[in-house]
Amino acid sequence: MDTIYRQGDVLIISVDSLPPGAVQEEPAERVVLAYGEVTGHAHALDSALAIAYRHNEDRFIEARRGATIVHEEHGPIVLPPGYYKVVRQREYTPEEIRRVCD
Amino acid sequence: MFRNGLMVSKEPTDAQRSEVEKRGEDWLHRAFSTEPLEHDRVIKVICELYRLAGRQSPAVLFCKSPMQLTAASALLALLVKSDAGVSSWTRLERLLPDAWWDELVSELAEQMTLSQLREHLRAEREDVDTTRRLSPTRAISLFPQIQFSAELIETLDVKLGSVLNSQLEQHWSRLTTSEMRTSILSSTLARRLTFLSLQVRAELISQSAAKVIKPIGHIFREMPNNDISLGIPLGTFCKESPDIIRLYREHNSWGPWMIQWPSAYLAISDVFGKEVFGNEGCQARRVIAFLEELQAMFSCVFLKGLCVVSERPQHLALDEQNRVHDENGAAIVFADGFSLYSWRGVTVPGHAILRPKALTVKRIQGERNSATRRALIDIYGNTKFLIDSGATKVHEDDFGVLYRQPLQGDEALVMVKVINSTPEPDGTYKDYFIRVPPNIETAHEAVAWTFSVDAGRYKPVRQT
Repeated sequence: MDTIYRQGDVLIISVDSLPPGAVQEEPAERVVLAYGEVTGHAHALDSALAIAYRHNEDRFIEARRGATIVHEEHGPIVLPPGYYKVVRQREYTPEEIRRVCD
Repeated sequence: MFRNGLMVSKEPTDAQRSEVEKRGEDWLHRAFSTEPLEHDRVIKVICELYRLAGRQSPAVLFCKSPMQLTAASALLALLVKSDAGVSSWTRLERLLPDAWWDELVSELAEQMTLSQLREHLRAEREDVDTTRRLSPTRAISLFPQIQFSAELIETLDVKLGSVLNSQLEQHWSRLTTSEMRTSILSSTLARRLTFLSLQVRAELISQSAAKVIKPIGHIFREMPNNDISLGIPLGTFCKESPDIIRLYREHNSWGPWMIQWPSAYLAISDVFGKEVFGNEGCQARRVIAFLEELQAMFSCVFLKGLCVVSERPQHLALDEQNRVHDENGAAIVFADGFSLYSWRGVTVPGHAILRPKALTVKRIQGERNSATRRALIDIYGNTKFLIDSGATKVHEDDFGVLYRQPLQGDEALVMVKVINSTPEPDGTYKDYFIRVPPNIETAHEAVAWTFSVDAGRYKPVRQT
């Protein structure tokens, strides 16, 4: 069974490995999983402890020991070392599916 | 690339893909342009289009908006059959109920006299009758002339189709893959143009047609009963108006089709132009270019001997998905003041945008058009609507509470209420609502859906 963590509107699902062809994102000061378009707050990790990857439309992170997801309005979540898939919360509309942004 | 003896297929290169994308952007830019039309250029294109359809060059009249376009077509149809000639025009002008109609008539009169117009129509139509009096039935029977729009397009379709097919059959399969023909083109061109063309244009025309019927009726009502030259009984005219609206709606839907169809070929021909069409070009390439020019017009009505063209809007606001949308005012405004209020591509009444706080649940539930009702709910706020309309609690578990509010003639509004795992500074827990598909039955299933996960898998070990 996958291990799942949730911080607000972001879900982190453990995976065994990165999918073939995943591309590492440009390193930045911190790894931002999602910006809240309403508040400007961010779900983020220290880039010294996490690496972000992209595969098609999906995003993944490689967490090292001590990697912690922080957010201005939510409690921190410490991730065990390993690979994770990042999923944004979505909302249904009859015409389209919109992403939820807190 | 592969070879099977008869056919060689190759993938489009990145450069070709980006070129197709760029063409799509160009088309989109043109479709949403608010630049004034270049009249000489438009007349040239329209005359060429008629010629290609085997018709004589028409008179081309320009209007400031689709509203004027609709009114002008209706007015001209009536006037042409009238035996009162120029005097009717003058009388109508005098009887116009407001400044807007004055503006329309002077706009048209500046461009062409009635006798000039009649000459054009007589050249094309032998049955233009300037001697007999206009009867209600005959006046209404003029409107099917608008079917010429469809005829013209069908003629062009056949011509274009045969020319293009003969050209493409030889080269198409070896130059493009099915992915190129369907995926790239549909995503870069057709899909994005569909919205503007099919929804906005058709809606604008039908809206303006509906508005025009009343003033026309007013003109005739104001006329003395003994004025037999244009004495159409109001009742008869208005009774027929649904047909007129239907005609405009149906025939203006040809316009966007005409625009979309060649646009795909145009993008292809620009990218693979030399290979497909040869260095010297061909008739198809030229025809497509004309149609591209034609797209510059916001809307137009093709009649025999006459083409009425609407100018572009002066203001056009879009959202991030290129849907007509303005939260603060009219999303489309034309030079004569004709405007359209739109919410994420759906036309809504002006008051919903200008006075959103005056919207009520009753007003929203009374809206018969489901697309408009969805837009009104969106403006009102899904969550507020759910609560204010007294939605039923259908399920509750550790993950949240599921609510359902049926909507007449539409899928139900189903939302899950979840509670933030992290307390607010004052120690309370904030809740929020998220809309989910109407077939969802449990709160657990609903929350799992919002994260694209099956309910069976959705068991977070930690939530904050």
